[in-house]
Amino acid sequence: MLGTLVSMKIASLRPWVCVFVALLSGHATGAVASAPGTALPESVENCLLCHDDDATQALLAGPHASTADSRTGFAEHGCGNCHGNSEAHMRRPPRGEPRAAPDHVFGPAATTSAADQNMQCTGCHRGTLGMHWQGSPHEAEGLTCVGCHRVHTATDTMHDAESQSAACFGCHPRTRAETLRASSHPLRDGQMACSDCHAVHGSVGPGLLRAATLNESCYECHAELRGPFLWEHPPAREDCSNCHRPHGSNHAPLLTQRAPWLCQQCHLAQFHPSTALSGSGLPGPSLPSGSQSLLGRNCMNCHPQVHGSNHPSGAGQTR
Amino acid sequence: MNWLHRRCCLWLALAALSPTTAAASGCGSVVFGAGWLDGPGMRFGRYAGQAADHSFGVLQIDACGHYAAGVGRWVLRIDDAGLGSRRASLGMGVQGRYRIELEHRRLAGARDVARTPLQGLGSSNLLLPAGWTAAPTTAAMSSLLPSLGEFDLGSTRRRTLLGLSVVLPESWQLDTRVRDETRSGIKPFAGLIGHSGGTPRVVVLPEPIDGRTREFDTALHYAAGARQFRIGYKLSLFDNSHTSLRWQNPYAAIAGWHPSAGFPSGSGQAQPAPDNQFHQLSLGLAQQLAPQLRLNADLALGRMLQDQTFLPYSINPSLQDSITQPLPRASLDGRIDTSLLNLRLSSRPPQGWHWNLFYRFDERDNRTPQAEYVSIGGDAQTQDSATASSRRRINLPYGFREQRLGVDAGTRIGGDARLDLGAQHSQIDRTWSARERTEESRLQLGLRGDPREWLNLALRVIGSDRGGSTHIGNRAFLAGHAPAYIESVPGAFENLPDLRSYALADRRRLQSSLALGIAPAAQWSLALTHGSTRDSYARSELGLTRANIRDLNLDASFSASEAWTLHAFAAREWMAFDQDGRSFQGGAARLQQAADPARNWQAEHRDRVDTMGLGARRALRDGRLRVGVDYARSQVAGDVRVSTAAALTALPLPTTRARLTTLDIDLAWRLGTRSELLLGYRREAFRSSDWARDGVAPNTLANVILLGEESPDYSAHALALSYRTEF
Repeated sequence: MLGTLVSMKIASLRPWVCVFVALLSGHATGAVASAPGTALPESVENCLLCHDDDATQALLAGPHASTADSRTGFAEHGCGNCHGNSEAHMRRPPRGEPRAAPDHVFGPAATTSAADQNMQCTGCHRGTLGMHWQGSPHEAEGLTCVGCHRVHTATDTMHDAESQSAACFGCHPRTRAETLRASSHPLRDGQMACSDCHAVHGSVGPGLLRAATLNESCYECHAELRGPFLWEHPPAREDCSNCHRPHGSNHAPLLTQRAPWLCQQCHLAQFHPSTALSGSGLPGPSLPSGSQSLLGRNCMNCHPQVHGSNHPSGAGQTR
Repeated sequence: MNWLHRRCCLWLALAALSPTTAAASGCGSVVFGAGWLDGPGMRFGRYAGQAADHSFGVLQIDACGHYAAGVGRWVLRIDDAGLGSRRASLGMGVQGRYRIELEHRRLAGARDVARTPLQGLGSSNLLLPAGWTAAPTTAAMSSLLPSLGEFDLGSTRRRTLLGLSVVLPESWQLDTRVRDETRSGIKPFAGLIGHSGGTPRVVVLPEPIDGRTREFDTALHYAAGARQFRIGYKLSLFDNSHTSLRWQNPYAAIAGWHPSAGFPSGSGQAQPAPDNQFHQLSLGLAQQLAPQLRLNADLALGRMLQDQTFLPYSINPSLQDSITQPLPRASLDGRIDTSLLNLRLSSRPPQGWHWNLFYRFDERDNRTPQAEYVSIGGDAQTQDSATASSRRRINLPYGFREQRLGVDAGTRIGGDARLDLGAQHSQIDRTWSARERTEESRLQLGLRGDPREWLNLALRVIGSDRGGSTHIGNRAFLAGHAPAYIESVPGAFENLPDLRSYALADRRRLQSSLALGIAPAAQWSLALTHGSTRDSYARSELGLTRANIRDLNLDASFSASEAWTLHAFAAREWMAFDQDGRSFQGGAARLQQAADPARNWQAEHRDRVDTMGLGARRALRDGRLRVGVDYARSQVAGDVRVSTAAALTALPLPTTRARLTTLDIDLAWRLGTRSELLLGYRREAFRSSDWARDGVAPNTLANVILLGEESPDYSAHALALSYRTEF
């Protein structure tokens, strides 16, 4: 009862919501959510005689069924643009025999290879997404476009960061485990998407990164670390992953191992850099006590500029 | 349908079915309501950075419509408008002609409570409170604890993005993107006064973050027939509104410092991240040379620039007066030219096999000019410009060139089984490095098959061997110091000659993975994967000597229908790293100790991570009630065991632990055909213990005033009730 009342109340607000949204857009000229009535190609009408289901209707609301965009081929070929002419499928089968499948079937019911299925997609999407597909790791693994994407929907779930991560983790469980660690990039709740860093359809970068190199990927969001600096830290200049695990780590901030020992794997100079740091450096009963190389921010208690320093007196990465 | 298809479909079903997303296709919905966050605030996900014990509004809008006589379409989306992390986007365009996208996003990070005696938070000039009692160490700083004030460490990003895509005639397309991102907040920075020989004194500063990154990225694409072509230009500008960070020295002058360096006259100054630029021109070509043969060629030429005016050697006027050798230049004029060439020839002959041949050239040519700088150590000493001064330092513009050549091929070996083989050789040439060249050869074997329709097996083994030119550990030391100083250093080295940095050292790596996938029915999918990476640095006497990482993952998913799905996962990862070191002092015993195996130590790192999760989606009462539950838990135990040879001693360290648990419960009750009531609950519990932070207060260390952050230990709840209506 209460729900019905609330529903009625909200229903009365709907026109205002529409106006609000239209004003925000500044371009709306018609009803907010109603698609314009456009005539479907005759061939599609034929398909709809049997396939008048939710999935097909959803397709008609999506970009692949745009008759105004000649690139889709939908106005000319209708469903056949992706599924082929499918003449055998269109014919009534002999009594007692099943209807022949369409020329091109995608996804779970496919009878053709992944490459054949993908060819239907890359034929149109070769300009941007498909440019590096052939020879890419995902292509080599035999993935199909429809293995990740839904075409028969108004909106592809891969455009939603949360759904995208869930799909990626299906094949990359270790990465999912890493993102659940105490130090991780904000992939939870879709605050970041896998595609923020990775070009999953193929790229010029390693590890299917969008940028040309790993460091260039990191600098997209951490441009302050790009430099060049007066006093460089060579491992940081060469490869961020020398010290960081990008998907998540037990050691903040995304470190491969715990400092100060991580630093000591490259720095064993006289006095404190080479000291055997152990439990003897923990605080004692009286203060002050404890090792300043071990506690707090360990090495970074004195050397905060580990990515490089631009201070003329900062050769020791201290300023 | 093979196993991979089934698995992908199941995961897609799981990804798509969420109680809080629209049940109907299309767009046109508003969600509004209110929520309450209980507890100290969360560190992860959408509630991260949200104020503790605070109410928040729920607002989400998803709308679309048409314009220009129905040809144009616009989409508006607003997410989490009442939270600290929120997003709004508007996209509009005419398909096949143009598309414009505008997005604004705010991303609030986790907050840590910290304490400092310094005042002027948020500014780049941090001062001590009136009546400050300075002392040589924290022991006698009677005003330290009473002066501490709390503040939040953390940062927030605000990103605005404008994108334009225009479809041009003759198969051309122009894509342009402009991004403006600011980051603000506070992060820790060690403010050090002093130089060496036991004289450094530190106060960890609350460094203000106020940086801005602007990016412009445009690309012209051509795609027709057998050829695709791309030309692009990218510009990235970073500007930091803080050009310096100053602080008042809380320590009284000590022996070894210039008298003016101590409180109250002493100050320190550091250089926050300098402004910089990056330009990159890129060209890409993909050409179908034959029906089954494709060439990809990509070239990217870039330039990194940084030329911020240098700060003086010291902020201390008395020390500035001592300068006899001024800065060699007013700014760095830093420049790195980047060149990248990727070539790939790939073939898919119809006989069921394929091959790729690829070459990669990646150069970071550091053209930054070199000069000699006579530094002033930590704003605490006069300039020592003697010819044998350790303060005479020459900057080393580090650069490298990487080349990689490889081939891989695969073929069907009957049925669905496939064999993949690969070989690769890479070579990195570096400047100013202990190792001028490293070379690595890699072989790869993959075997995969579906012995049954419901069963998939995959095995992959990769072996690599890295070596290179002679290791000269003191190359950077020799190049970066004055010759007269080097002559004064016994042995002429800084780091022990037997040390091998893990990024340069000889290494044998063996990686393997085994995956078993079972799909006993269309609704079920099970996957068991095991991965292992074993690195051996057998020729490294000191440094990292061994690194082993193993993991085991189990995944299960079930999708009876769109109305009932279940998934679960469990993973365990073991990490083991061993490193060797040798402790040595300076002075007369330096060389003797540097070669003394009795001063050796070893650190064994053993981390174990257990992760598990369970999620379920169920539609009940004919779909009127949709329920979603997600539980995830990640638990880490880490040990560092340090052992020493006879001349040293070591004590054990406690185990560090962290356990993060997240529970989400979402309910959606459909009230009518176009409305529903949503109830969301999240619990996030984080228990951790870390001996480096717990109980380590600002006055724990004698020579470092810390910020006193504790390991996270909390349990927080969020409850949100909202109403969703479609229009």
